[in-house]
Amino acid sequence: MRKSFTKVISFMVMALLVVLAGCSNDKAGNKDGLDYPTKPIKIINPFSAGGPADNTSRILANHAKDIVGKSLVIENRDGGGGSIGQTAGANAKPDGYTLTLITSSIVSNPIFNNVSYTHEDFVPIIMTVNDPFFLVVGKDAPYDDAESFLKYAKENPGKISVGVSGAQTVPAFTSKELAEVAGIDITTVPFDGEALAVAAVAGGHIDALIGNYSGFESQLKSGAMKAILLFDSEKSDLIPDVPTASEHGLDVVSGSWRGFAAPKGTDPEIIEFLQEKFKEIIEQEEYQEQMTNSGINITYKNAEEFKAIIEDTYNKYMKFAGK
Amino acid sequence: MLEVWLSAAGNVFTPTNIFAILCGVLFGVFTGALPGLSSTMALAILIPFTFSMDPATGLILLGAVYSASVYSGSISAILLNTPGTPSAAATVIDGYEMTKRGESAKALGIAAIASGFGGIVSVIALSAFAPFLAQQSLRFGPPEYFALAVFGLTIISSLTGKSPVKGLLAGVFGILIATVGMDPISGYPRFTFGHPALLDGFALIPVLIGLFSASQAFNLMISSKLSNDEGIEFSQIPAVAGKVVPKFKELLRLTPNMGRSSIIGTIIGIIPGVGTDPAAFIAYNEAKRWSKDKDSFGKGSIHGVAAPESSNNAVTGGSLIPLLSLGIPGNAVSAVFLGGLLIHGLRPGAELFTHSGDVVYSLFFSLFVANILIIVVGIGGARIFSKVLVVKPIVLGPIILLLSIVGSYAIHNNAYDIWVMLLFGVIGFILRRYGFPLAPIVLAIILGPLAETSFNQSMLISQDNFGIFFNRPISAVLLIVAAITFVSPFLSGVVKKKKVA
Repeated sequence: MRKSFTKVISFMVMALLVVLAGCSNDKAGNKDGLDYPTKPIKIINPFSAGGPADNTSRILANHAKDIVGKSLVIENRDGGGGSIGQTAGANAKPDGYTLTLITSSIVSNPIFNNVSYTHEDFVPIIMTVNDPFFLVVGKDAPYDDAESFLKYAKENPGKISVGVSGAQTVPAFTSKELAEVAGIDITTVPFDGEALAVAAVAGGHIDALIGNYSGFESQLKSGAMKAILLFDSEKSDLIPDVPTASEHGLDVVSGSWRGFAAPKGTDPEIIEFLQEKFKEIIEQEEYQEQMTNSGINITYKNAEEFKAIIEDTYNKYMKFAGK
Repeated sequence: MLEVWLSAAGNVFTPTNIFAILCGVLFGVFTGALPGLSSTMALAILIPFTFSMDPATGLILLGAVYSASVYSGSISAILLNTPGTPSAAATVIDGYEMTKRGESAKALGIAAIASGFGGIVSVIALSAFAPFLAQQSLRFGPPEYFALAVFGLTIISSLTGKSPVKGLLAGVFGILIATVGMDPISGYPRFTFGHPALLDGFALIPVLIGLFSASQAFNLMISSKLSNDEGIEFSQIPAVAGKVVPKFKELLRLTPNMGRSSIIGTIIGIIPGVGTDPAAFIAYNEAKRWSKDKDSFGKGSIHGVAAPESSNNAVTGGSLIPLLSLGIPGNAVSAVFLGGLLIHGLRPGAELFTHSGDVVYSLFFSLFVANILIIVVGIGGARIFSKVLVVKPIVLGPIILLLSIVGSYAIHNNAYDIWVMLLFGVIGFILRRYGFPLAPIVLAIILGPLAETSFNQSMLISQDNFGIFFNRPISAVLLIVAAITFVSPFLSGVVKKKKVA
């Protein structure tokens, strides 16, 4: 009885998956000489399912089959702040069939923790996302723009508490960098993810937060929070009235970038092939719509530019690592 | 208002959506009942399929899977002494005792009814008071989280069973395990011994599978070789006996308990970052506190099954409240859910209810249907599920062990977790042999980090002033309740002894 019940369940599940998956078509698109890909390509996502990092890979994978020729399979291997999946990604066979979704944590993990890889063990393919960070304050705060924020911080050292998505995350460094560059004393409070920091600002338990637009968008729209500073070189299309840090004479540029990389030693032709195909995907209207809907800022940087950004991140971390 | 609901009902009662609910419930029951396949994973698997669906159908499917997977963790908890999901860890305590008494069918029936009841209460709260409740959830800042975590930890004193010392030791062991990994505030590794896999600490699910499932598998395999008491314990479990549906009188007696537990679950669900597992334990503790027959708890009380099951399913609706009205996902499942909303351009917030009211109310209505279906599937399937008890321990043991291995691997696709699971399997086996309760360990692993993080956050915010815990009403009240909860089981023990003397 138990067996037959299990069978029924498995059948239902299979039926469900078949029905749901039935819409996609197989249409291979290959080019000159390169015998790749001949099988599905795995993308290791070193973070858990759900959230912007996961969406970045899943939305790409969703459009990949027709363009790349084979499907992209996402494998969430989270744990160790990303280091588990990154270790697997760095040590994978460099045959182009195991890629890794990379974020700035491929730079920070080797600096702060004892892991067996560095960012140089990855060959960047393409950067698809750059979400700049904003400084956001609650609506009842005694400051409502960058100027009054900085003035208040100078007059009340240590009083302003700034929530970030975790210890040793990019927002945490941004908070410290802001404090140093502006010559102010603010208290950085790490939370378990941006969502809980947003809740704490909305409830008035902390004064501000540094995070991505998608995390606080609802609060911004309801008027419960106000974005007062953007850590990017250009103004944001999403909220154009927020000044950049450099407009206030603060040289702080920071965002969470995401892209894809292959293990060191991968055939450059494969890297080029993937870069072209992924670029084709991110130019698709439906892809852009789904990303924008998910509150993710679409960017395109080619392999060379991406490499420079990773190096830049490394240099910045090394500067703040000892502090 | 009635119009909105009627059109929602019209949306839900279409063949596609009913099929989505049915598939969702069956898929959820399946993943929840297997140790290692969690609600988050079930939802994450389905998310890409919802991309191409109609927004309402996608959310209806996700909602049904979420509710059903939280319920079905109780099936393995009751029958096999091993929770299918962490949220069913409290259900093990009395659920398995009922099975040992031959009342597995009834326990399953009660779990299904209580789950559906809890789910429905929370959906009522969700659909009627979401914006108001969401605002209330924001009252919880770091000091309140700390007080809540301390309160949760004090429940250990009522989970201790026969020996309070062993219960407290188990709790301390859990807290010690929880300290492994990155320091939540400084970010530096603790007790990882240079091993990167330990940076995030011991993952809850492999530890839980080890403590409960693997140790139970070892027990089953060894007991079939033994002829002592424990050997008899397994061979004597009657497969299915008694009725699945409890008597009307019993149900009536369970109603206040289920009502209270559902409210507790809904409230805990609303608070971002707490979740189903503490909710189940807190409801269990309150059921015991207000019961006239406290001694029956831990010995197969129907109240001990109904309370955690109502409560953890009430979290499902509760957790959607801050998500839908504020855009704040309180747990991993909600984060996945948020992805499902956003992909269709549905923005959480007050506007969601006005602009996309049809989708939102269809989701709410579908959750009612899904919870009713959970009761139907749970009661209808109880006898079938119970058949697992017919399997001889020597066969069942290896099957459970195999599922444990697959489950621990599947959670992070990481072979390392299998070793963690086996290590805790051995630890759990030894602890069981020496009469240590396992529930306090789970509670401590879940709440330890919450207590630590929120304590440090409070200190950062208050600039090291302890007053922050006492001059805020919610936090102060919770700490007082915590003190009472911690002391009362010991005091009542002393009082009883005096009476006897």
